[in-house]
Amino acid sequence: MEITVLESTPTRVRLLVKDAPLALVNAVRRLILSEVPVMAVDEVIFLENNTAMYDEIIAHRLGLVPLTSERALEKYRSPEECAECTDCEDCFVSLYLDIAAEDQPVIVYSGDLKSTDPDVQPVYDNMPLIYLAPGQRVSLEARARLGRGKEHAKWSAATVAAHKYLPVIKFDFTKASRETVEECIECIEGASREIAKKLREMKKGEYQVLEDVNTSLYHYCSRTACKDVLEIEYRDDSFILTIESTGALPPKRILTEALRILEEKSRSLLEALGASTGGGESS
Amino acid sequence: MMIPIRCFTCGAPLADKWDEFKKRVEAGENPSKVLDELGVRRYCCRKTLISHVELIQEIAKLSRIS
Repeated sequence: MEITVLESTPTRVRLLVKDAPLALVNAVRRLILSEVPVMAVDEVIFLENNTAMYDEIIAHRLGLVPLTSERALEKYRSPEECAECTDCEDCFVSLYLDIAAEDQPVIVYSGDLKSTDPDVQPVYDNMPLIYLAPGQRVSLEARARLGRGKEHAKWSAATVAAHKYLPVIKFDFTKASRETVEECIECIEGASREIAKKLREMKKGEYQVLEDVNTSLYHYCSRTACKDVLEIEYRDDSFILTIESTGALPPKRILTEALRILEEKSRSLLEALGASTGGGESS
Repeated sequence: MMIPIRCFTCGAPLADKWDEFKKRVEAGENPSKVLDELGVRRYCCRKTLISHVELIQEIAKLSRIS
């Protein structure tokens, strides 16, 4: 297996994974969405709320606010231990909010939440949460814990985790007439000018589409303007894996965490199999 | 009522982009260009920001029944 980083920003990463089975790449994708734990508000205790929004709406909005989770993964206990805990030590982080509007309206932002742990804070401090008209007040304690995406989407570490087969454009402009080539290039320019330019320069050969473009248009072109000149194929042993983070964890950490969970799950499966076959039962 | 914290469809955080989006569009910039620069790529997120109407100022005038 060979992995190349195609694009890397603080919230987004695109990887080219070569010579890997689909099942493995898909397992990683599913783990990223449903198993990688992050922090999110789970319980809210309202001391006062006379705003226009019901307690439940505010609690829901608080739950969706992404919280920085990188350090929290080591510091706090696992979602399974905390979901129905009786001794909730090392499970929860409290975020406090107590704001009143006197004679001017106030917009409460995510940055106004005061966390008891500096490692667990709203990722973005400029999210409008609550609107207070003059005379209204909100006072609450929000309790955040680690959770997994399979329990609620607010605990999903990634907003996008997707893979696609590597698209390859096969083309030969040398045998076609000039008009056909021009017509064909005009068609494929619709998806990307840069790719069209490169194809024109190459004249003939195979082009791997590593750019982040939608390749649907190439199908259309290969049937119409580029008939017999250009074809699009997909390599079924190479994938482009895109991961987009909510900001709670860096994409790289999401990937390593997903792989660690995959390793753990595989090991426990092997152990379970070993235990049942080692018992001498024939099956 | 207020801007959704996240996109309904894909779950990407959106509320952090609202204030800037609103300010720039009200100043006369092209919404499409502002969304591109804010890094809002998918049409699910774009439609959520574009079509949002801030009604909370009106609703907040009405008192709550409790």
